[in-house]
Amino acid sequence: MEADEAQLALDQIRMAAEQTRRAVARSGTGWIFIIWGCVWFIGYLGGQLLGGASSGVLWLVLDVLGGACTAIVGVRTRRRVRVAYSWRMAGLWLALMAYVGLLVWIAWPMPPDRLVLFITVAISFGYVFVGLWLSPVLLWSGLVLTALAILGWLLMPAYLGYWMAFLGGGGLIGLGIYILSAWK
Amino acid sequence: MADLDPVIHQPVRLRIMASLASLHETEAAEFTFLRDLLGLTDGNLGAHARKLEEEGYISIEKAFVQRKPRTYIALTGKGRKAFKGHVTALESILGGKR
Repeated sequence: MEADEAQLALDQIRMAAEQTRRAVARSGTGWIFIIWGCVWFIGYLGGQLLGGASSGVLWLVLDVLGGACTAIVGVRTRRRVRVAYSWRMAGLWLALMAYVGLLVWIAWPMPPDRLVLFITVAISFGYVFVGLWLSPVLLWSGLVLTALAILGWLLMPAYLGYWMAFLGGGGLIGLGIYILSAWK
Repeated sequence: MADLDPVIHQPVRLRIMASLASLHETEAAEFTFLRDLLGLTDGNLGAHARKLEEEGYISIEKAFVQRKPRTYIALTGKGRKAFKGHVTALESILGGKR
């Protein structure tokens, strides 16, 4: 085989791979980041403004809504690409949420800023864990959200909710919009 | 040095393998998605997919999603290894000419 034929074959491989990844990403990833960015934004902002038990109820409602919207996007994506172990993924998030709830109960009482930090770092750990398994974008999102939460807690613990709403939630929404526009 | 794989080398099969190799190991592409993405017909994709399946490079599985039958195609471990070997062989051809 000549070098130009080999180059042509490699170009075809690269194009087919790029086309596929973009088509898959466009169908689901961007929207999932936007959905959870909205959950983070409303949850943290609401938590900062409402405080106390109302904040917990708000997060619960938002998590259920976020989960339902993610499932809808997942079903749509599944028409194109099926992810094995998706039931394990759902189980992982449910287990993580249950254990976070249990750990909060064990450590209670906790100052509000520490509670926000604790839950944020725990959920970010979920992003990192799933990201290591499936997606570098999710892995980096988890690491950045963890760093943001710790930085916000060190710099302005009383306003951590606002900090995470705008930088964390806003960042996820921005990443989702970027994925939808850049991976066309 | 890895050799070129004559089964993968065929242009349509090369694109099918490249597309499937770009997915994660836990992912499988739906038949019509792959057909539209690569601009193939049902018959063309079906014939090449069967050839790749015979070689053990891909697995084809039928399932029901929302009560509709769907066919999913995924790269096997053997297929992923063969594809990597084929790409290495192509790169070495280029390397040898440089």
